[in-house]
Amino acid sequence: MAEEEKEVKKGRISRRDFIKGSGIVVGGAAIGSTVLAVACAPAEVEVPGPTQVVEREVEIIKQVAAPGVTTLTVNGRTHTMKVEPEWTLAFVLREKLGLVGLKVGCDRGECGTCNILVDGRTSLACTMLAVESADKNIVTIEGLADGANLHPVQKLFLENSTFQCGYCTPGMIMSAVALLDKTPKPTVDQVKVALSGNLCYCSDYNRQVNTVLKGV
Amino acid sequence: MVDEFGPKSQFVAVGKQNLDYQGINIVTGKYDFAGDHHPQGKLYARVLGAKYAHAKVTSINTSRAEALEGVEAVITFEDHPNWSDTILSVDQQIAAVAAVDEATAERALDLIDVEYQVLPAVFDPEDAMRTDAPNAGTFPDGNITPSPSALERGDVAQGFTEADVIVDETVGWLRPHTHNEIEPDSTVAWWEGDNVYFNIGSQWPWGQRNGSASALGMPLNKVHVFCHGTGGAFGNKYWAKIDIEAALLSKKAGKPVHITLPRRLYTVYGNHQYAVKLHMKLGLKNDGTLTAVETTWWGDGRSNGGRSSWQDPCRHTWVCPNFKKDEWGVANNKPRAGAWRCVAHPEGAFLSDLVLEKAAARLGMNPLEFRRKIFISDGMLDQDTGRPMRTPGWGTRQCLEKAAQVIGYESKYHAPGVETLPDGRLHGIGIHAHADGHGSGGGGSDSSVLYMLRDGTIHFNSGSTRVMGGPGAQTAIIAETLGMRFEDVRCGDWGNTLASEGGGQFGSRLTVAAGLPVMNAANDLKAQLYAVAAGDGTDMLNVTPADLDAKDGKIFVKSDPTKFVTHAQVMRVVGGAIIGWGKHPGGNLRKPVGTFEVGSPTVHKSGCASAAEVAVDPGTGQVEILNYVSVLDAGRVIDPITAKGQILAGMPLQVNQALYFDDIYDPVTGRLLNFNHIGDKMGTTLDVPVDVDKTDDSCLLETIDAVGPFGSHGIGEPAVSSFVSINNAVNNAIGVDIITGPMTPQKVLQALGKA
Repeated sequence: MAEEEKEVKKGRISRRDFIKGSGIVVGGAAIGSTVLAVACAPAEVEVPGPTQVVEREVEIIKQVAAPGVTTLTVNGRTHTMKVEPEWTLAFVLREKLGLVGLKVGCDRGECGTCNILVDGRTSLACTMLAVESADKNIVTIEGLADGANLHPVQKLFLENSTFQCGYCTPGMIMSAVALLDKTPKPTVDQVKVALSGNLCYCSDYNRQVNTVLKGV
Repeated sequence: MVDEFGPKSQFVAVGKQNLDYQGINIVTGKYDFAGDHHPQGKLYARVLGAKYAHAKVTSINTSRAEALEGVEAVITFEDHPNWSDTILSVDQQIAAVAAVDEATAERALDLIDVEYQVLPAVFDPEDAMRTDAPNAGTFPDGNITPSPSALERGDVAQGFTEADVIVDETVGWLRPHTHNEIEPDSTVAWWEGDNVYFNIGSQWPWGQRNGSASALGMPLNKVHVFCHGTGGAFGNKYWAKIDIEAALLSKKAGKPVHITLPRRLYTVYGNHQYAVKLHMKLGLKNDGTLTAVETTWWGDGRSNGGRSSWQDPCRHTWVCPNFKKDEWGVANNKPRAGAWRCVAHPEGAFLSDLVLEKAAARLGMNPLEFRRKIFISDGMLDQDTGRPMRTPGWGTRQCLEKAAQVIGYESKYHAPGVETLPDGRLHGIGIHAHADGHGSGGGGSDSSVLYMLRDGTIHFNSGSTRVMGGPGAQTAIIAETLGMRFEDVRCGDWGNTLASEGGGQFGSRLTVAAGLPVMNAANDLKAQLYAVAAGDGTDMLNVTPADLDAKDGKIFVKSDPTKFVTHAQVMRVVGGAIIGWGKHPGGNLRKPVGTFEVGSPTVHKSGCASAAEVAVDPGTGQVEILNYVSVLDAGRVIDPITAKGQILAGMPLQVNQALYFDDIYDPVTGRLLNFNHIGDKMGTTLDVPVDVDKTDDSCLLETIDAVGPFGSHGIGEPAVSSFVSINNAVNNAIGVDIITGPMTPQKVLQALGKA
């Protein structure tokens, strides 16, 4: 009997059904939404209620997505750790590695507070899974300063008091760092575009844009 | 300007660009917010909201959730003192789960079996006012408050008989919008014996502590709150929103519990700015003099039927002996309504100003001239109480004139709808000013304790948090009062309820409400220091305390400043720490005003104004702001960086209110549909035209408040309450009055008859 058939008998939904249904290639790790999986499931599968969905989700995780060991490279240090497949990179950095400088404001890729650098590019850690972040060079706000020497962008933000409550500041600094790394002499419009993914409710966008321009 | 504190140039710390000493932690990511705490073994919790907007829960069963691997505690409304089985709005809290991670907690919520008896619901306030509307469940009979909040000064009926012109208008509903600060509420709770501890983000940690203690039935000395960073509050983080469930779950699980509200629930459980409608009747002489102002207001909201003080701006800004207001609350099944950045003045100023503009048009007067005619002026007493104003009436007038001058109102004003720019767009200009009720820092429970340590430096716990800028203002007030260097005064734990009682940080009250207690505490310390410094101990000065003054870290003899001791030298004689204590003295005069003596009760109003020049595309309805300015009567500027931050940060929030914020509720379920940041259209650096903002240092007018420390008062809410200038400019451009906000392209096209 083929492995897959054995699994069909064991569980209510097989790995093959799940992969086929969701259309996502799951390397035993990344897991899509169960709702999506169920919605796209073969016609003979009875459409379940929400609690059945949850039960199936638990089942699926047990079957196909056992926690794996992942190695993350963060601020120059490597961390080899057990990571649940559904943990976001933001969750792991904050809750498991204690790098709480990045914030999780919206947890849906809109506010920019979880902004970090992944291989030099700004990335939203709340929209990345930890398991897909292995073998990448991750830099968080904690990794910018060289000991007591602040990164020039951090210095600019400090000297100009470019913050009020300070919650959006780390994400915004990461955006500015990425911009100035690639474009050392940006125009006003380039600065505005670079910071446009960082929402600020205290909203002194004026000072923020001008602070970055001072670094030019 | 000179007042009893002497000329500004003599100050060492007040009004200077002092370094924000928490900044180093902010830029390195070490500044500590509530969700950043990781006590050992912390669990993660999620809250379950009701499915229906108006219902009764008939049964709830948590056994399957409790059986899920990783779940450690479940509570329901039966365990929670503030929750109920009576559901009055969708997503009202009915259960919560603590588990090993957020995903498990989230999953467990779906395993809680709930049955409901669904009741009819109503969401739109206009619908809720109808006699045949479903009862929203707030009042036994109908949805409107049984009686209005009413006030009449003078005789309005008589005033109308004296009028040459009557203007009678209904404007609104001004659409509401929800809070959507970037930091969602986050609480970590844990127990040690019978004491409970919380890490929270808050604009009133003491109040939040009091709320938790009361709900948990615990004495205040067993409930401890720590609050450092708070990622924006604006009137949304001052009550125990998630703390009690965190404490209950923690007790049940025997482990620390962390709740962070997911973005959608953050917008549900917070305040929503009221939707407001106004009926206003004005009696006017032909020269513009007001003879009567009669206003009726309706505001929506779940819990209190949404009754607030929308009439404040027009009642205190316009001179009229006869004024009447009736404010009605309209209950419905939307989530709770309340303050957004300001409790009622943005809406009140918006709606009353729309009518003011209509009145100016009826009289054929230039809107700026009409305002000059009816605004309060210098030397006037409060029209209701006859008490002196803390800041002179010219503060509001001066704001108006400054805004008009910066924007070039007099030269650019034209009749509505007549000026087209070379590119075919319509040109408009608008202005607004009012005497805002906020910034007084009125008396409360605020008190302050300062420690002068044995080396002559000061450590203090403010008891208030960093939601309105840094600790600079309080530090500067202490340093200036004691003649110390700014860097020798440091604030430690901000919102720690084991320390000073910081009062609520709403009503733009922190500058005065925390500033006066720290100033009094510094004076208390000063008396103790001078008593020792004046003595004849080793190295001391051998004079009387009245002979002494202090500046720049030295306590010296006034008649001979070469004779001095340092604070550190005095403290070596003292031989240990000394404590200064100060309390809020209330809103009484610190200096005489007119015939009123020191100590007289006062009325506070902060002047604020803004002006805008816009271009409106008649083809698309798109509004572009070409020029903008905001002006505030700031009293004395204590901390220039924060003060300037407040006024500049006001611009995006004014633009958001005028053009973008527009909450949309599902008429069937009552759910807020555009809760996310993209949906609520909060402006980004690309949307908010920061580069056309003409606001600069000269737009912070220093009028010297007769109560506040060093003549200061708060400016936070006035900075966002004058956005109606943008709407006035749009109406001036298109020549048709849009009487609701925001000015979306769709509304502009509708007004132009094109949609």
